[in-house]
Amino acid sequence: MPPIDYDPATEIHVRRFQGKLTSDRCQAMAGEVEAEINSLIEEDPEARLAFDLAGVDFIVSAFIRLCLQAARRMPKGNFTIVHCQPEVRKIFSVAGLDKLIELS
Amino acid sequence: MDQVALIMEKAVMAAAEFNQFDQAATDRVVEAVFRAAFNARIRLAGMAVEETGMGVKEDKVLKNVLASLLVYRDIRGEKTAGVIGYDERLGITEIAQPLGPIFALTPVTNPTSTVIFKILICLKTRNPIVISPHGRATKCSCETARICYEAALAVGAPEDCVQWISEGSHDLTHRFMSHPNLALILATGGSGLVAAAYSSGTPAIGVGPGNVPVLIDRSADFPFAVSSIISSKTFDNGTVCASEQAVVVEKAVAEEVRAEFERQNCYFASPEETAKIEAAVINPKTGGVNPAIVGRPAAEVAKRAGLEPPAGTKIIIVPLDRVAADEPLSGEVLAPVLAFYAEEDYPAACNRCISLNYRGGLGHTAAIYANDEERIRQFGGLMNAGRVVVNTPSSQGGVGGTFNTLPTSFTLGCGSGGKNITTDNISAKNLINIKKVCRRRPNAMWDEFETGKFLDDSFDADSLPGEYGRNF
Repeated sequence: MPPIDYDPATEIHVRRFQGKLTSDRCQAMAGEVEAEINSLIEEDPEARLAFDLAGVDFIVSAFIRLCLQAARRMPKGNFTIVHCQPEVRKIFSVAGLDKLIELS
Repeated sequence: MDQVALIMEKAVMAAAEFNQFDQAATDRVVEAVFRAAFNARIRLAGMAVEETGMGVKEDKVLKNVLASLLVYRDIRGEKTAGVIGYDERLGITEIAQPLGPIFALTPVTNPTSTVIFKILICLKTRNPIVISPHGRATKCSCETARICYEAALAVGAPEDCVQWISEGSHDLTHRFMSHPNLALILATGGSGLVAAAYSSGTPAIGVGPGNVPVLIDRSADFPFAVSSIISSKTFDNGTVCASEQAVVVEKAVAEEVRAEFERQNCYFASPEETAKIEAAVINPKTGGVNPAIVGRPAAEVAKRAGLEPPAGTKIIIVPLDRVAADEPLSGEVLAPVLAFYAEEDYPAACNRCISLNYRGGLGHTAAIYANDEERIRQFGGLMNAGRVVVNTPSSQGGVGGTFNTLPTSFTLGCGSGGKNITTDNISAKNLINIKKVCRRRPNAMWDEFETGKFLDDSFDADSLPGEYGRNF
Protein backbone atom coordinates (compact mmCIF):
# COMPACT_ATOMS: atom_id res chain seq x y z
CA MET A 1 0.00 0.00 0.00
CA PRO A 2 1.32 3.44 -0.83
CA PRO A 3 1.88 5.81 2.10
CA ILE A 4 -0.01 9.04 2.46
CA ASP A 5 1.09 11.64 -0.09
CA TYR A 6 0.95 15.36 0.48
CA ASP A 7 -0.35 17.68 -2.22
CA PRO A 8 1.11 21.14 -1.48
CA ALA A 9 -1.22 22.81 -3.97
CA THR A 10 -4.35 21.84 -2.05
CA GLU A 11 -2.63 21.25 1.29
CA ILE A 12 -4.37 17.92 1.53
CA HIS A 13 -2.82 14.58 2.46
CA VAL A 14 -3.99 11.88 0.07
CA ARG A 15 -4.24 8.16 0.74
CA ARG A 16 -4.83 6.21 -2.47
CA PHE A 17 -6.59 2.85 -2.72
CA GLN A 18 -6.75 0.45 -5.64
CA GLY A 19 -8.90 -2.41 -6.91
CA LYS A 20 -11.42 -4.42 -4.96
CA LEU A 21 -11.40 -3.64 -1.27
CA THR A 22 -12.46 -7.03 0.02
CA SER A 23 -12.82 -8.12 3.64
CA ASP A 24 -9.41 -9.76 3.63
CA ARG A 25 -7.70 -6.70 2.23
CA CYS A 26 -9.50 -4.38 4.63
CA GLN A 27 -8.55 -6.56 7.56
CA ALA A 28 -4.94 -6.61 6.42
CA MET A 29 -4.64 -2.87 5.96
CA ALA A 30 -6.86 -1.57 8.79
CA GLY A 31 -4.02 -1.33 11.33
CA GLU A 32 -1.68 0.25 8.82
CA VAL A 33 -4.19 2.93 7.79
CA GLU A 34 -5.04 3.68 11.40
CA ALA A 35 -1.34 4.09 12.22
CA GLU A 36 -0.90 6.42 9.25
CA ILE A 37 -3.81 8.56 10.41
CA ASN A 38 -2.52 8.66 13.98
CA SER A 39 0.90 9.69 12.80
CA LEU A 40 -0.59 12.37 10.57
CA ILE A 41 -2.66 13.84 13.40
CA GLU A 42 0.28 13.70 15.75
CA GLU A 43 2.32 15.66 13.26
CA ASP A 44 -0.41 18.18 12.48
CA PRO A 45 -3.68 18.12 14.43
CA GLU A 46 -5.30 20.31 11.78
CA ALA A 47 -4.16 18.16 8.87
CA ARG A 48 -6.65 17.47 6.07
CA LEU A 49 -6.91 13.97 4.68
CA ALA A 50 -8.56 12.54 1.58
CA PHE A 51 -9.09 8.91 0.64
CA ASP A 52 -8.63 8.74 -3.13
CA LEU A 53 -10.76 5.91 -4.56
CA ALA A 54 -10.09 6.52 -8.26
CA GLY A 55 -8.85 2.97 -8.68
CA VAL A 56 -11.50 1.28 -6.55
CA ASP A 57 -14.49 -0.58 -7.99
CA PHE A 58 -15.75 -2.65 -5.02
CA ILE A 59 -15.88 -2.00 -1.29
CA VAL A 60 -17.05 -4.09 1.64
CA SER A 61 -18.68 -2.86 4.80
CA ALA A 62 -15.34 -3.08 6.61
CA PHE A 63 -13.97 -0.37 4.34
CA ILE A 64 -17.00 1.82 5.00
CA ARG A 65 -16.26 1.44 8.70
CA LEU A 66 -12.65 2.36 8.05
CA CYS A 67 -13.85 5.57 6.41
CA LEU A 68 -16.17 6.27 9.33
CA GLN A 69 -13.34 5.76 11.80
CA ALA A 70 -11.11 8.09 9.82
CA ALA A 71 -13.82 10.75 9.76
CA ARG A 72 -14.26 10.43 13.52
CA ARG A 73 -10.53 10.67 14.18
CA MET A 74 -10.05 13.80 12.10
CA PRO A 75 -11.33 17.26 13.04
CA LYS A 76 -14.79 17.85 11.55
CA GLY A 77 -14.60 18.65 7.85
CA ASN A 78 -10.95 17.64 7.51
CA PHE A 79 -11.65 14.22 6.04
CA THR A 80 -12.99 13.69 2.54
CA ILE A 81 -13.35 10.87 0.04
CA VAL A 82 -12.47 11.80 -3.52
CA HIS A 83 -12.60 10.40 -7.03
CA CYS A 84 -15.28 7.84 -6.27
CA GLN A 85 -16.45 5.85 -9.24
CA PRO A 86 -20.26 6.17 -9.47
CA GLU A 87 -20.77 2.54 -8.44
CA VAL A 88 -18.80 3.14 -5.27
CA ARG A 89 -20.32 6.58 -4.68
CA LYS A 90 -23.75 4.94 -4.68
CA ILE A 91 -22.63 2.49 -2.00
CA PHE A 92 -21.59 5.33 0.29
CA SER A 93 -25.04 6.86 -0.18
CA VAL A 94 -26.77 3.57 0.60
CA ALA A 95 -24.69 3.37 3.78
CA GLY A 96 -25.66 6.94 4.70
CA LEU A 97 -22.08 8.22 4.62
CA ASP A 98 -22.95 11.04 2.27
CA LYS A 99 -24.57 12.75 5.24
CA LEU A 100 -21.43 12.46 7.35
CA ILE A 101 -18.51 12.76 4.96
CA GLU A 102 -17.81 14.99 2.00
CA LEU A 103 -17.75 12.79 -1.09
CA SER A 104 -16.76 13.57 -4.62
CA MET B 1 -24.52 2.79 21.02
CA ASP B 2 -27.65 0.90 21.99
CA GLN B 3 -28.62 -2.47 20.56
CA VAL B 4 -31.12 -1.18 18.01
CA ALA B 5 -28.77 1.48 16.65
CA LEU B 6 -25.84 -0.93 16.53
CA ILE B 7 -27.74 -3.68 14.71
CA MET B 8 -29.26 -1.20 12.28
CA GLU B 9 -25.89 0.37 11.56
CA LYS B 10 -24.48 -3.05 10.76
CA ALA B 11 -27.49 -3.85 8.61
CA VAL B 12 -27.06 -0.63 6.65
CA MET B 13 -23.39 -1.43 6.04
CA ALA B 14 -24.33 -4.91 4.88
CA ALA B 15 -26.97 -3.43 2.58
CA ALA B 16 -24.38 -1.13 1.07
CA GLU B 17 -21.97 -3.97 0.39
CA PHE B 18 -24.73 -6.24 -0.89
CA ASN B 19 -25.64 -3.63 -3.51
CA GLN B 20 -22.50 -4.50 -5.42
CA PHE B 21 -23.24 -8.22 -5.70
CA ASP B 22 -24.08 -9.44 -9.16
CA GLN B 23 -26.49 -12.31 -9.82
CA ALA B 24 -23.82 -15.00 -9.73
CA ALA B 25 -22.40 -13.87 -6.39
CA THR B 26 -25.90 -13.56 -4.96
CA ASP B 27 -26.88 -17.02 -6.14
CA ARG B 28 -23.76 -18.54 -4.59
CA VAL B 29 -24.86 -17.18 -1.22
CA VAL B 30 -28.42 -18.44 -1.64
CA GLU B 31 -27.29 -21.92 -2.65
CA ALA B 32 -24.94 -22.13 0.34
CA VAL B 33 -27.73 -21.12 2.73
CA PHE B 34 -30.16 -23.59 1.17
CA ARG B 35 -27.66 -26.42 1.55
CA ALA B 36 -26.88 -25.60 5.17
CA ALA B 37 -30.53 -25.23 6.14
CA PHE B 38 -31.54 -28.40 4.32
CA ASN B 39 -28.77 -30.36 6.01
CA ALA B 40 -29.81 -29.08 9.44
CA ARG B 41 -33.55 -29.68 8.87
CA ILE B 42 -33.94 -32.60 11.29
CA ARG B 43 -31.95 -31.15 14.17
CA LEU B 44 -33.72 -27.80 13.85
CA ALA B 45 -37.13 -29.46 13.76
CA GLY B 46 -36.29 -31.32 16.94
CA MET B 47 -35.17 -28.11 18.61
CA ALA B 48 -38.38 -26.35 17.57
CA VAL B 49 -40.65 -29.05 19.01
CA GLU B 50 -38.61 -29.30 22.19
CA GLU B 51 -38.54 -25.56 22.80
CA THR B 52 -42.10 -24.64 21.82
CA GLY B 53 -43.88 -27.83 22.82
CA MET B 54 -45.91 -27.45 19.62
CA GLY B 55 -46.35 -29.66 16.62
CA VAL B 56 -44.85 -32.90 15.39
CA LYS B 57 -41.13 -33.31 14.74
CA GLU B 58 -41.57 -35.22 11.47
CA ASP B 59 -43.94 -32.55 10.16
CA LYS B 60 -41.59 -29.78 11.22
CA VAL B 61 -38.85 -31.59 9.28
CA LEU B 62 -41.11 -31.44 6.22
CA LYS B 63 -41.75 -27.74 6.85
CA ASN B 64 -38.00 -27.18 6.91
CA VAL B 65 -37.76 -29.07 3.63
CA LEU B 66 -40.46 -26.86 2.12
CA ALA B 67 -38.72 -23.73 3.41
CA SER B 68 -35.30 -24.76 2.14
CA LEU B 69 -35.56 -27.10 -0.86
CA LEU B 70 -38.85 -25.95 -2.37
CA VAL B 71 -38.27 -22.26 -1.77
CA TYR B 72 -34.78 -22.59 -3.21
CA ARG B 73 -36.13 -24.36 -6.29
CA ASP B 74 -38.70 -21.60 -6.74
CA ILE B 75 -36.25 -18.73 -6.53
CA ARG B 76 -32.93 -20.06 -7.77
CA GLY B 77 -33.56 -19.19 -11.41
CA GLU B 78 -35.08 -15.80 -10.70
CA LYS B 79 -33.23 -12.69 -11.75
CA THR B 80 -32.97 -10.41 -8.74
CA ALA B 81 -29.78 -8.43 -9.36
CA GLY B 82 -28.99 -5.92 -12.08
CA VAL B 83 -30.94 -6.01 -15.35
CA ILE B 84 -33.81 -8.45 -14.97
CA GLY B 85 -35.79 -7.65 -18.09
CA TYR B 86 -35.72 -5.78 -21.39
CA ASP B 87 -38.43 -5.26 -23.98
CA GLU B 88 -37.18 -3.68 -27.17
CA ARG B 89 -40.67 -2.86 -28.46
CA LEU B 90 -41.72 -1.10 -25.28
CA GLY B 91 -38.26 0.33 -24.78
CA ILE B 92 -38.21 -0.56 -21.11
CA THR B 93 -35.28 -2.04 -19.22
CA GLU B 94 -36.03 -3.35 -15.76
CA ILE B 95 -33.32 -3.19 -13.11
CA ALA B 96 -33.67 -4.87 -9.74
CA GLN B 97 -32.68 -2.88 -6.70
CA PRO B 98 -32.57 -4.21 -3.16
CA LEU B 99 -34.96 -2.67 -0.66
CA GLY B 100 -32.49 -2.37 2.21
CA PRO B 101 -32.54 -3.81 5.73
CA ILE B 102 -35.56 -6.00 6.47
CA PHE B 103 -36.89 -6.69 9.95
CA ALA B 104 -38.43 -10.15 10.08
CA LEU B 105 -40.81 -11.20 12.82
CA THR B 106 -41.16 -14.96 12.97
CA PRO B 107 -43.84 -17.03 14.71
CA VAL B 108 -43.81 -19.69 17.39
CA THR B 109 -45.88 -22.09 15.29
CA ASN B 110 -43.46 -22.43 12.34
CA PRO B 111 -40.25 -21.02 13.82
CA THR B 112 -37.31 -22.63 12.05
CA SER B 113 -39.03 -22.98 8.69
CA THR B 114 -40.10 -19.34 8.64
CA VAL B 115 -36.58 -18.21 9.54
CA ILE B 116 -35.07 -20.32 6.72
CA PHE B 117 -37.69 -19.04 4.29
CA LYS B 118 -37.23 -15.38 5.14
CA ILE B 119 -33.44 -15.56 5.09
CA LEU B 120 -33.46 -17.21 1.66
CA ILE B 121 -35.77 -14.69 0.05
CA CYS B 122 -33.96 -11.75 1.65
CA LEU B 123 -30.51 -12.89 0.59
CA LYS B 124 -31.76 -13.73 -2.90
CA THR B 125 -32.77 -10.08 -3.19
CA ARG B 126 -29.56 -8.75 -1.56
CA ASN B 127 -31.40 -7.42 1.47
CA PRO B 128 -29.86 -7.84 4.92
CA ILE B 129 -32.25 -9.34 7.42
CA VAL B 130 -32.70 -8.91 11.15
CA ILE B 131 -34.65 -11.82 12.66
CA SER B 132 -36.86 -11.14 15.64
CA PRO B 133 -38.16 -14.52 16.79
CA HIS B 134 -41.19 -15.21 18.93
CA GLY B 135 -40.21 -15.23 22.59
CA ARG B 136 -41.08 -18.91 23.01
CA ALA B 137 -39.05 -19.98 19.97
CA THR B 138 -35.92 -17.91 20.45
CA LYS B 139 -33.35 -20.68 20.79
CA CYS B 140 -34.30 -22.71 17.72
CA SER B 141 -34.87 -19.57 15.61
CA CYS B 142 -31.50 -18.04 16.51
CA GLU B 143 -29.73 -21.34 15.85
CA THR B 144 -31.38 -21.49 12.43
CA ALA B 145 -30.28 -17.95 11.70
CA ARG B 146 -26.74 -18.71 12.86
CA ILE B 147 -26.46 -21.76 10.58
CA CYS B 148 -27.71 -19.79 7.59
CA TYR B 149 -25.45 -16.82 8.34
CA GLU B 150 -22.30 -18.87 8.68
CA ALA B 151 -23.05 -20.65 5.41
CA ALA B 152 -23.56 -17.30 3.71
CA LEU B 153 -20.37 -15.81 5.13
CA ALA B 154 -18.37 -18.82 3.97
CA VAL B 155 -19.11 -17.95 0.35
CA GLY B 156 -18.44 -14.25 0.67
CA ALA B 157 -21.75 -12.76 1.78
CA PRO B 158 -21.51 -9.35 3.46
CA GLU B 159 -20.73 -9.35 7.12
CA ASP B 160 -23.93 -8.89 9.18
CA CYS B 161 -26.21 -9.73 6.25
CA VAL B 162 -28.12 -11.93 8.73
CA GLN B 163 -28.58 -10.77 12.32
CA TRP B 164 -30.90 -11.97 15.04
CA ILE B 165 -32.22 -10.79 18.36
CA SER B 166 -31.78 -13.39 21.05
CA GLU B 167 -33.55 -11.40 23.75
CA GLY B 168 -36.40 -9.42 22.36
CA SER B 169 -38.97 -7.28 24.03
CA HIS B 170 -42.07 -5.37 23.06
CA ASP B 171 -40.22 -2.07 23.27
CA LEU B 172 -37.22 -3.31 21.29
CA THR B 173 -39.46 -4.64 18.52
CA HIS B 174 -41.27 -1.32 18.23
CA ARG B 175 -38.00 0.59 18.09
CA PHE B 176 -36.73 -1.61 15.29
CA MET B 177 -39.97 -1.32 13.38
CA SER B 178 -39.90 2.46 13.42
CA HIS B 179 -36.17 2.85 12.77
CA PRO B 180 -35.61 5.32 9.94
CA ASN B 181 -33.08 3.09 8.16
CA LEU B 182 -35.38 0.11 8.04
CA ALA B 183 -36.71 -0.63 4.55
CA LEU B 184 -39.41 -3.20 5.26
CA ILE B 185 -41.05 -5.25 7.99
CA LEU B 186 -41.83 -8.84 7.10
CA ALA B 187 -44.21 -9.77 9.88
CA THR B 188 -45.73 -13.19 10.46
CA GLY B 189 -47.53 -13.63 13.73
CA GLY B 190 -50.49 -12.60 15.80
CA SER B 191 -52.87 -9.88 14.74
CA GLY B 192 -51.56 -7.42 17.36
CA LEU B 193 -48.02 -7.75 16.10
CA VAL B 194 -49.07 -7.37 12.50
CA ALA B 195 -51.14 -4.28 13.34
CA ALA B 196 -48.14 -2.80 15.15
CA ALA B 197 -46.00 -3.42 12.07
CA TYR B 198 -48.47 -1.59 9.86
CA SER B 199 -48.72 1.38 12.21
CA SER B 200 -44.96 1.76 12.58
CA GLY B 201 -44.57 4.06 9.60
CA THR B 202 -42.26 1.58 7.84
CA PRO B 203 -43.52 -0.31 4.79
CA ALA B 204 -44.71 -3.72 5.93
CA ILE B 205 -45.87 -7.05 4.62
CA GLY B 206 -47.73 -8.46 7.55
CA VAL B 207 -49.66 -11.67 7.69
CA GLY B 208 -51.85 -12.50 10.61
CA PRO B 209 -54.39 -15.18 11.38
CA GLY B 210 -56.68 -16.95 8.96
CA ASN B 211 -60.03 -18.63 9.45
CA VAL B 212 -60.21 -21.11 6.63
CA PRO B 213 -63.64 -22.45 5.65
CA VAL B 214 -63.76 -25.66 3.66
CA LEU B 215 -66.89 -26.44 1.72
CA ILE B 216 -67.48 -30.10 0.92
CA ASP B 217 -69.91 -29.94 -1.96
CA ARG B 218 -72.33 -32.76 -2.70
CA SER B 219 -70.39 -33.35 -5.94
CA ALA B 220 -67.19 -34.09 -3.98
CA ASP B 221 -65.61 -37.48 -3.43
CA PHE B 222 -66.32 -37.65 0.32
CA PRO B 223 -63.74 -40.27 1.39
CA PHE B 224 -61.09 -38.40 -0.57
CA ALA B 225 -62.17 -34.99 0.81
CA VAL B 226 -62.26 -36.20 4.40
CA SER B 227 -58.90 -37.93 4.12
CA SER B 228 -57.38 -34.82 2.60
CA ILE B 229 -58.80 -32.52 5.29
CA ILE B 230 -57.53 -34.83 8.04
CA SER B 231 -54.03 -34.92 6.55
CA SER B 232 -54.07 -31.12 6.41
CA LYS B 233 -55.59 -30.34 9.80
CA THR B 234 -53.37 -32.82 11.64
CA PHE B 235 -50.21 -31.71 9.85
CA ASP B 236 -47.92 -30.42 12.61
CA ASN B 237 -51.00 -30.61 14.86
CA GLY B 238 -52.76 -27.86 12.98
CA THR B 239 -50.23 -25.05 13.38
CA VAL B 240 -50.34 -23.85 9.78
CA CYS B 241 -52.42 -20.68 9.44
CA ALA B 242 -53.82 -21.99 6.15
CA SER B 243 -55.23 -25.10 7.85
CA GLU B 244 -58.96 -25.78 7.74
CA GLN B 245 -60.97 -24.28 10.59
CA ALA B 246 -64.55 -25.19 9.70
CA VAL B 247 -66.16 -27.80 7.45
CA VAL B 248 -69.37 -26.68 5.76
CA VAL B 249 -71.78 -29.09 4.04
CA GLU B 250 -75.38 -29.22 2.88
CA LYS B 251 -77.75 -30.97 5.26
CA ALA B 252 -78.60 -33.48 2.56
CA VAL B 253 -75.10 -34.92 2.74
CA ALA B 254 -74.19 -34.00 6.30
CA GLU B 255 -74.76 -37.46 7.75
CA GLU B 256 -72.76 -39.10 5.00
CA VAL B 257 -69.85 -36.71 5.51
CA ARG B 258 -70.05 -37.10 9.27
CA ALA B 259 -69.98 -40.87 8.97
CA GLU B 260 -66.91 -40.62 6.76
CA PHE B 261 -65.11 -38.42 9.30
CA GLU B 262 -65.99 -40.90 12.03
CA ARG B 263 -64.87 -43.82 9.89
CA GLN B 264 -61.52 -42.04 9.47
CA ASN B 265 -61.07 -41.63 13.24
CA CYS B 266 -62.45 -38.18 13.91
CA TYR B 267 -64.65 -37.56 16.94
CA PHE B 268 -67.83 -35.48 16.88
CA ALA B 269 -68.39 -33.72 20.20
CA SER B 270 -71.86 -33.55 21.76
CA PRO B 271 -73.21 -30.08 22.73
CA GLU B 272 -72.06 -30.67 26.32
CA GLU B 273 -68.63 -31.78 25.13
CA THR B 274 -68.43 -28.80 22.78
CA ALA B 275 -68.85 -26.51 25.78
CA LYS B 276 -66.02 -28.35 27.53
CA ILE B 277 -63.80 -28.06 24.44
CA GLU B 278 -64.53 -24.36 24.29
CA ALA B 279 -63.56 -23.96 27.94
CA ALA B 280 -60.27 -25.74 27.33
CA VAL B 281 -59.42 -24.07 24.03
CA ILE B 282 -60.45 -20.50 24.72
CA ASN B 283 -58.91 -18.25 27.33
CA PRO B 284 -61.95 -16.62 28.97
CA LYS B 285 -60.00 -13.53 29.98
CA THR B 286 -58.75 -12.65 26.49
CA GLY B 287 -61.31 -14.43 24.34
CA GLY B 288 -58.36 -15.75 22.35
CA VAL B 289 -57.03 -19.25 22.01
CA ASN B 290 -55.29 -20.76 25.03
CA PRO B 291 -51.62 -21.05 23.94
CA ALA B 292 -51.27 -24.30 25.86
CA ILE B 293 -53.41 -26.17 23.32
CA VAL B 294 -51.85 -24.69 20.18
CA GLY B 295 -50.08 -27.37 18.17
CA ARG B 296 -51.03 -30.11 20.62
CA PRO B 297 -52.48 -33.45 19.47
CA ALA B 298 -56.22 -34.10 19.57
CA ALA B 299 -55.88 -36.54 22.46
CA GLU B 300 -54.23 -33.94 24.65
CA VAL B 301 -56.79 -31.25 23.79
CA ALA B 302 -59.53 -33.76 24.63
CA LYS B 303 -57.89 -34.66 27.91
CA ARG B 304 -57.61 -31.00 28.92
CA ALA B 305 -61.33 -30.67 28.18
CA GLY B 306 -62.17 -33.77 30.20
CA LEU B 307 -63.27 -35.76 27.15
CA GLU B 308 -62.48 -39.36 26.44
CA PRO B 309 -62.70 -39.88 22.70
CA PRO B 310 -61.72 -43.25 21.23
CA ALA B 311 -58.01 -44.01 21.11
CA GLY B 312 -56.44 -42.85 17.87
CA THR B 313 -58.79 -39.88 17.43
CA LYS B 314 -57.21 -37.54 14.92
CA ILE B 315 -59.48 -34.50 15.05
CA ILE B 316 -62.18 -33.32 17.44
CA ILE B 317 -65.10 -31.94 15.48
CA VAL B 318 -67.50 -29.49 17.10
CA PRO B 319 -70.87 -29.07 15.37
CA LEU B 320 -71.89 -25.39 15.46
CA ASP B 321 -74.76 -23.38 14.02
CA ARG B 322 -73.48 -19.84 14.47
CA VAL B 323 -70.49 -17.76 13.42
CA ALA B 324 -69.96 -14.95 15.87
CA ALA B 325 -67.47 -13.34 18.21
CA ASP B 326 -69.31 -14.95 21.13
CA GLU B 327 -68.99 -18.34 19.45
CA PRO B 328 -65.22 -18.58 19.83
CA LEU B 329 -64.84 -21.97 18.19
CA SER B 330 -66.06 -20.37 14.96
CA GLY B 331 -62.69 -18.59 14.82
CA GLU B 332 -59.15 -19.81 14.21
CA VAL B 333 -57.87 -22.63 16.43
CA LEU B 334 -54.37 -23.82 15.53
CA ALA B 335 -54.90 -27.33 16.86
CA PRO B 336 -56.77 -30.43 15.63
CA VAL B 337 -60.19 -28.95 16.47
CA LEU B 338 -62.57 -28.39 13.59
CA ALA B 339 -65.97 -26.71 13.48
CA PHE B 340 -68.75 -28.38 11.46
CA TYR B 341 -71.77 -26.66 9.89
CA ALA B 342 -74.67 -28.38 8.13
CA GLU B 343 -76.68 -25.95 5.98
CA GLU B 344 -80.03 -26.18 4.18
CA ASP B 345 -78.68 -25.96 0.66
CA TYR B 346 -75.69 -24.93 -1.41
CA PRO B 347 -76.36 -21.14 -1.29
CA ALA B 348 -76.69 -21.36 2.50
CA ALA B 349 -73.43 -23.32 2.67
CA CYS B 350 -71.72 -20.61 0.64
CA ASN B 351 -73.17 -17.95 2.92
CA ARG B 352 -71.80 -19.79 5.93
CA CYS B 353 -68.37 -19.85 4.32
CA ILE B 354 -68.61 -16.11 3.68
CA SER B 355 -69.45 -15.55 7.37
CA LEU B 356 -66.44 -17.63 8.42
CA ASN B 357 -64.29 -15.83 5.90
CA TYR B 358 -65.33 -12.48 7.40
CA ARG B 359 -64.79 -13.76 10.95
CA GLY B 360 -61.06 -13.15 11.11
CA GLY B 361 -59.91 -14.78 7.91
CA LEU B 362 -60.34 -12.06 5.32
CA GLY B 363 -57.96 -12.36 2.43
CA HIS B 364 -56.29 -15.52 3.70
CA THR B 365 -57.32 -18.93 2.36
CA ALA B 366 -60.52 -20.84 1.58
CA ALA B 367 -61.02 -24.38 0.34
CA ILE B 368 -63.60 -26.34 -1.61
CA TYR B 369 -63.98 -30.00 -2.45
CA ALA B 370 -66.18 -30.41 -5.50
CA ASN B 371 -66.34 -31.98 -8.92
CA ASP B 372 -68.82 -29.44 -10.24
CA GLU B 373 -66.92 -26.80 -12.17
CA GLU B 374 -69.71 -24.25 -11.92
CA ARG B 375 -69.74 -24.51 -8.12
CA ILE B 376 -65.96 -24.26 -7.95
CA ARG B 377 -66.11 -21.14 -10.12
CA GLN B 378 -68.89 -19.64 -8.00
CA PHE B 379 -67.14 -20.40 -4.72
CA GLY B 380 -63.92 -18.87 -6.04
CA GLY B 381 -65.80 -15.71 -6.87
CA LEU B 382 -67.50 -15.47 -3.47
CA MET B 383 -64.55 -15.89 -1.14
CA ASN B 384 -62.39 -12.97 -0.11
CA ALA B 385 -59.17 -14.97 -0.08
CA GLY B 386 -55.72 -14.75 -1.58
CA ARG B 387 -55.89 -18.48 -2.23
CA VAL B 388 -58.93 -20.64 -2.90
CA VAL B 389 -57.63 -24.19 -2.99
CA VAL B 390 -59.63 -26.87 -4.79
CA ASN B 391 -59.69 -30.56 -3.83
CA THR B 392 -56.49 -29.88 -1.93
CA PRO B 393 -55.42 -29.95 1.73
CA SER B 394 -55.43 -26.26 2.55
CA SER B 395 -52.37 -26.28 4.86
CA GLN B 396 -50.12 -27.55 2.13
CA GLY B 397 -52.16 -25.99 -0.68
CA GLY B 398 -51.92 -22.52 0.82
CA VAL B 399 -48.20 -22.77 1.46
CA GLY B 400 -47.77 -23.91 -2.13
CA GLY B 401 -45.31 -26.04 -4.01
CA THR B 402 -46.60 -29.51 -3.17
CA PHE B 403 -50.24 -29.81 -4.30
CA ASN B 404 -50.25 -26.88 -6.70
CA THR B 405 -47.88 -24.52 -8.44
CA LEU B 406 -48.17 -21.58 -6.06
CA PRO B 407 -44.77 -20.33 -4.89
CA THR B 408 -43.82 -22.03 -1.62
CA SER B 409 -44.15 -19.42 1.09
CA PHE B 410 -44.42 -19.09 4.84
CA THR B 411 -45.88 -15.60 4.51
CA LEU B 412 -49.21 -15.67 2.72
CA GLY B 413 -50.34 -12.26 1.50
CA CYS B 414 -53.95 -11.50 2.41
CA GLY B 415 -54.66 -8.52 0.18
CA SER B 416 -56.58 -5.51 1.37
CA GLY B 417 -58.88 -7.77 3.41
CA GLY B 418 -55.93 -8.60 5.63
CA LYS B 419 -54.55 -5.04 5.34
CA ASN B 420 -51.86 -6.32 2.99
CA ILE B 421 -50.63 -4.76 -0.22
CA THR B 422 -50.71 -8.12 -2.01
CA THR B 423 -52.45 -11.49 -2.11
CA ASP B 424 -49.25 -13.17 -3.32
CA ASN B 425 -47.55 -16.02 -1.59
CA ILE B 426 -44.70 -13.74 -0.57
CA SER B 427 -41.42 -14.62 -2.23
CA ALA B 428 -38.25 -13.01 -3.52
CA LYS B 429 -40.09 -11.06 -6.19
CA ASN B 430 -41.88 -9.08 -3.48
CA LEU B 431 -38.60 -7.89 -1.98
CA ILE B 432 -37.08 -5.89 -4.83
CA ASN B 433 -37.63 -2.44 -6.19
CA ILE B 434 -37.87 -2.67 -9.95
CA LYS B 435 -36.45 0.38 -11.61
CA LYS B 436 -37.58 0.99 -15.18
CA VAL B 437 -35.29 2.70 -17.65
CA CYS B 438 -37.64 3.94 -20.34
CA ARG B 439 -36.40 4.69 -23.85
CA ARG B 440 -38.30 7.18 -25.97
CA ARG B 441 -41.17 5.43 -27.71
CA PRO B 442 -43.69 8.00 -28.96
CA ASN B 443 -47.39 7.22 -28.54
CA ALA B 444 -48.65 7.39 -32.13
CA MET B 445 -52.19 8.06 -31.01
CA TRP B 446 -51.14 10.94 -28.81
CA ASP B 447 -49.08 12.37 -31.69
CA GLU B 448 -52.22 12.49 -33.84
CA PHE B 449 -54.13 14.48 -31.28
CA GLU B 450 -54.20 18.20 -31.67
CA THR B 451 -53.63 18.92 -28.01
CA GLY B 452 -54.89 22.50 -28.35
CA LYS B 453 -58.41 21.13 -28.62
CA PHE B 454 -58.22 20.01 -25.01
CA LEU B 455 -58.23 23.68 -24.04
CA ASP B 456 -61.60 24.17 -25.77
CA ASP B 457 -64.35 23.69 -23.18
CA SER B 458 -66.86 22.70 -25.85
CA PHE B 459 -64.69 19.73 -26.87
CA ASP B 460 -66.21 16.99 -24.75
CA ALA B 461 -65.96 13.19 -24.67
CA ASP B 462 -68.69 12.92 -27.34
CA SER B 463 -66.50 14.96 -29.69
CA LEU B 464 -63.69 12.40 -29.68
CA PRO B 465 -65.12 10.02 -32.31
CA GLY B 466 -65.92 12.89 -34.66
CA GLU B 467 -62.43 14.28 -34.37
CA TYR B 468 -60.36 11.13 -34.31
CA GLY B 469 -62.64 8.41 -35.64
CA ARG B 470 -64.59 5.87 -33.67
CA ASN B 471 -61.50 3.90 -32.81
CA PHE B 472 -59.83 6.52 -30.67
